Amino acid sequence: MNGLLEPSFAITVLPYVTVVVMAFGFALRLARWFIAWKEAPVMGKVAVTRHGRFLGVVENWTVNMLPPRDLAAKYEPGFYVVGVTMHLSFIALLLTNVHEFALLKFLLPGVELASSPFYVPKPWSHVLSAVFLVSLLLMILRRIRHWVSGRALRAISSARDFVAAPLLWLVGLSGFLASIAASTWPYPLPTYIITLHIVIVQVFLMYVPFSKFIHGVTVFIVRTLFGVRRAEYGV
Amino acid sequence: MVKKGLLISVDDVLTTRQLIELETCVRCGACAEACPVYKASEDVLAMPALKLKELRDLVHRGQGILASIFKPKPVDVKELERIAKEAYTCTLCGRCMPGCVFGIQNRELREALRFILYRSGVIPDQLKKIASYLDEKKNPFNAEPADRLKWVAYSLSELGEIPVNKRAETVYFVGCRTSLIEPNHDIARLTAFLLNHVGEDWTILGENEWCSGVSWIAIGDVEKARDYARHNVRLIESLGAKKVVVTDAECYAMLKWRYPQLIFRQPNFKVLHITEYLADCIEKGKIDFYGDIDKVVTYHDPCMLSRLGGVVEEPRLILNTLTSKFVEMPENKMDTYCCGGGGFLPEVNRELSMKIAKTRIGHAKEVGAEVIVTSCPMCREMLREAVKELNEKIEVVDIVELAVKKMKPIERAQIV
Ligand code: SF4
Ligand code: SF4
Repeated sequence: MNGLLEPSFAITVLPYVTVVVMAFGFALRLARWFIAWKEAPVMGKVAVTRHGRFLGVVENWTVNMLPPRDLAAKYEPGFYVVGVTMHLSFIALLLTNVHEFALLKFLLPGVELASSPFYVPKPWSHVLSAVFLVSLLLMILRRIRHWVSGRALRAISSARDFVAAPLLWLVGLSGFLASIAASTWPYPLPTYIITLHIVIVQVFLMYVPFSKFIHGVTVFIVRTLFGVRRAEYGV
Repeated sequence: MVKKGLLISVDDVLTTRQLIELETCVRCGACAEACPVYKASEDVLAMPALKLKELRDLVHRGQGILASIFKPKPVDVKELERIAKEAYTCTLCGRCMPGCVFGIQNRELREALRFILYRSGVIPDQLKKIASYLDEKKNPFNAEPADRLKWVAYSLSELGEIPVNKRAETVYFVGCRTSLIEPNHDIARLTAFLLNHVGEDWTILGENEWCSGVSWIAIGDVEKARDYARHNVRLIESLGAKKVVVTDAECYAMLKWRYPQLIFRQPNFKVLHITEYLADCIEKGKIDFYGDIDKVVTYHDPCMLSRLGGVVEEPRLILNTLTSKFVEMPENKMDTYCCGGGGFLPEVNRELSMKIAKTRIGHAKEVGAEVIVTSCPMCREMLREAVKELNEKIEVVDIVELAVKKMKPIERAQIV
């Protein structure tokens, strides 16, 4: 796919801007969290534990995420299935495409990046993309439906929610089109599509630390600590 | 002078973990389906994620990027009053924690929001009144401290000696609701009977006992909760006690889990809920029971004992020893459904509380239960009232009542 690209702003300057903005965003977050750490918290730590903390964490990352233990799965099975499908397909796409990350390629010129060990060949990668796009679209539609009919989600949704998910969807769509275009569409269309994809991905990356996408990082802390708590309390 | 806006400080309220949790919420709304208050009211005001969003907005206004560059933005008092309405429409049952797709510990965030609101002086009037009772009389019911001994006075002859404020191995922490609300006195009396029956070296704190602090946490004053925790711990430790037995699930969660957090150390005693104590007595063969119970029995896990306390197996061990007709309700153990009584919701919105309690009775009916056993005076009160309003024939009893009245060699008439 890379041979189709010509040097342009998207692959020469933008990657550096992306890295700087991302670093700044993450630094701001970390600063806020660590400043709070220094302020004496109102609560001390629980010293006793009923079950092993490590096992509690493992349990919270495995069986507790599956029905019937997961309450979201119990009460909104449709949302659960779509949500899990969306996240799993996103992770799979990320892993399969990791060798093609424009950012890494252009920031580390001359370094031979190994192919992803999780590489999924076509047409399966296309199926994966389609699954991701459909499931994310369903999640976007769920929010829109709630918004329009004045239901629960409307009260907690903000304008940013209607930016974040569609942006991610555009990342997926442009990537999907780019992978089709690279092998089947006539020149110069693939160049445009791939460049567009690279730009959208970088906008997305810059947006991550300032948006709800931060949950992709913080979830590992939050779910792990809930596992610790469950182990301490023995539930 | 009309107060226009308040500067909200969150620095000393939220921990790093909680700040991270606030940023983790993706506003998916999944937790709403797990929340008994939202399910009963279908009111977006009650949504767990809405309260989280309000808290995050307050944090951003107080210490967000813009607030750090320019200066924190004051929050309009009217707006705070609206947020208070949301924050106190909650039983603090904690169901939104397993209900969250990421495991955000929503309940503590709810408490943190209450701390902030309390400090801003915008809590509901009913709770202001309760706060003044607590300040004055150290209990939320406006009862005199001496009233804590009423149950002792009229039951002495039946129960044997009830030592008050003596040095002893074990302290029975009776709790305000059990000692000050008369229909709950039988829980205290039967517990006293049990402790004497198994030969425990025990005492109660009598008039010196203060609210465990759970009321202050629910109202929103963590510093007062800390003072109360320190008072109770000092008192118990001064009696040389190594063990504290508790019959109130809310007090249990406080003494067991919150006291070490509040006083920044582990107290010198261990805390046992009466179900743990009873289960231990059964396992060690200290008590035995008569026959079977000829009714279908189910168990309602109090939130503060199960999800927020970690005691789920012991009540089942007791019930399976007492009866062959024990059935599980839907929504049990970690996922237990609230009785509607926590977080001072009954004081703020009685009707909504009762609606939740009635849902729980519905769960019991689903499994054909004739007796609902629980292990918290608050749950017992709420469920009994719901049964009455629904005109049902279901009995609601505390596990101590059921167990002690079936103990050998006790004649029922002796202690009822
Ligand atoms: S603590 Fe209980 S009542 Fe309060 S928001 Fe969470 S689930 Fe709802
Ligand atoms: S389930 Fe968790 S992430 Fe979703 S809205 Fe509720 S608190 Fe936020």
